[in-house]
Amino acid sequence: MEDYESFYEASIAPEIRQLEIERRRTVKRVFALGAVILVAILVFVFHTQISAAVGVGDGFVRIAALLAGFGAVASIFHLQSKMRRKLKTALVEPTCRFLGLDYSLDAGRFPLPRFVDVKILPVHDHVHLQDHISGAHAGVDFELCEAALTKRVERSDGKGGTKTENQSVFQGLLLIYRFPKPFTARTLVLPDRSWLGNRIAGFRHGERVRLEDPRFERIYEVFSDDQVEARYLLTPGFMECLTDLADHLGASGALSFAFEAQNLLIAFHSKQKHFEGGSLFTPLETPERAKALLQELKLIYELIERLKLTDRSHL
Amino acid sequence: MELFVGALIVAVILIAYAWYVVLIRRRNRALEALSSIDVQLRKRHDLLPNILKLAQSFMSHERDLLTRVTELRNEARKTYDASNPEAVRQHLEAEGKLQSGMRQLFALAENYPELRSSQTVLEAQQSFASVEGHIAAARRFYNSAVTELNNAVQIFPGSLIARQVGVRPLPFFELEDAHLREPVDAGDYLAVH
Repeated sequence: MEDYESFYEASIAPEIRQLEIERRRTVKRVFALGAVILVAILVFVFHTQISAAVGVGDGFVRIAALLAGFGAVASIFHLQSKMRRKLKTALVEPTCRFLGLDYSLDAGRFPLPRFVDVKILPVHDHVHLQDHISGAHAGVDFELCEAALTKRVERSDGKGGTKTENQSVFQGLLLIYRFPKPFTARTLVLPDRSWLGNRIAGFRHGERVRLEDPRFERIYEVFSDDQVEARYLLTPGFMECLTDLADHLGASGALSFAFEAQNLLIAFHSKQKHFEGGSLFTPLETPERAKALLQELKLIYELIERLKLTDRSHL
Repeated sequence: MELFVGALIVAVILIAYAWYVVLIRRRNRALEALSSIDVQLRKRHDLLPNILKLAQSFMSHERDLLTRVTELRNEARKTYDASNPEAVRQHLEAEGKLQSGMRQLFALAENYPELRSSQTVLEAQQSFASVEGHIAAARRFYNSAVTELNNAVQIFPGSLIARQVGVRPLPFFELEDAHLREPVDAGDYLAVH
């Protein structure tokens, strides 16, 4: 930690100080744009009086208010996104480098199709990936990224028609770890979905595997095309690791695992965003920001240690 | 009244048939699990000659043990009738004895540093650890299938139907002592410290 503090002072802090000036400027612009939105709303609400007072058409006033409002909202998003990218480049990227990890804001190279193929992600229409991190710890190779999946749903608009909305179906981390045991079959460990839900899931995921650990069985449901290999991978010791992990993360029902092509694929569904570097509305120079980021990155190593991925036997 | 009795008879026949289906399914499942154990045990048997050959060159003083392990292997390799619970019990017991003999062999191998450090032995121990892991997994699968079968066979009215159709409970694949309840990790005995 002391090493990181001196690294932070030498390599990150100067950049962050520069960025802080820019952040203040951005926040001022955001507030100004917020005022524009407020005015646009007022104009839209009182468009009749305003059009009469100014002497322009009622439709023109409404369209102008709408354009101004949407323009301001889009500008806020653009400013925030630009600032966020800069913060990640200044803070997240060098912190990962310090830890010996490769970081890329763009996660286009992350092998998402592997998660889709094993069907541990919900059905979705749109994918947004970012923060691709890769590296190795204690001889275990890994890579991960943050994912947001959405699905288009049609809803009734209350006037007899329908409107299409994008509904979030997954927000969280996708992680791939090298698994120490060789295997050939496909085995999935998914959140338990009650008696009926598990049976329905069986149609999609294959044969269910009933295991001896009642605590594990309460949290997870296992599907595999090889009953013996599923038990070879899910030894009593490894099942305990998986239940302990769910308890530790308070994520019962949010963790899905797949054993695929010599790797352990993990989908960790968490509502919070990861590796963001903190709020843009508070000063950037606070050390808590870096500490919080380190804490988030700790999860990568914690998974290796808690799941004992360095231990080949898992006996 | 006649309609009621007729409906009752049909219901009883349907329940008996459903139970029969469950019994046959579970018996087939247990036999499938037993055959998956045999697949894994065969891997163990195939590895053993190499290990014994290596051991003979270093452990000439342990001739009795090596001979006994060879005999146990031959005993365990004998064919048996999977539909006969007594034959299954004897087969699994023979495997238990072989595993016990092998544990002894690995324990004694501790005293032979040349054997422990041989590259061939190191490779053999890796294959062996993997095979033992698979045997433990197959045993869990088998015992789980046998639990389901035995429940269906022993609980009324399953016990009546099972007797009629000749489905019998199968024995569990249990290990002989507490140490054997964990899979053998040959690495524990042969690894270079």
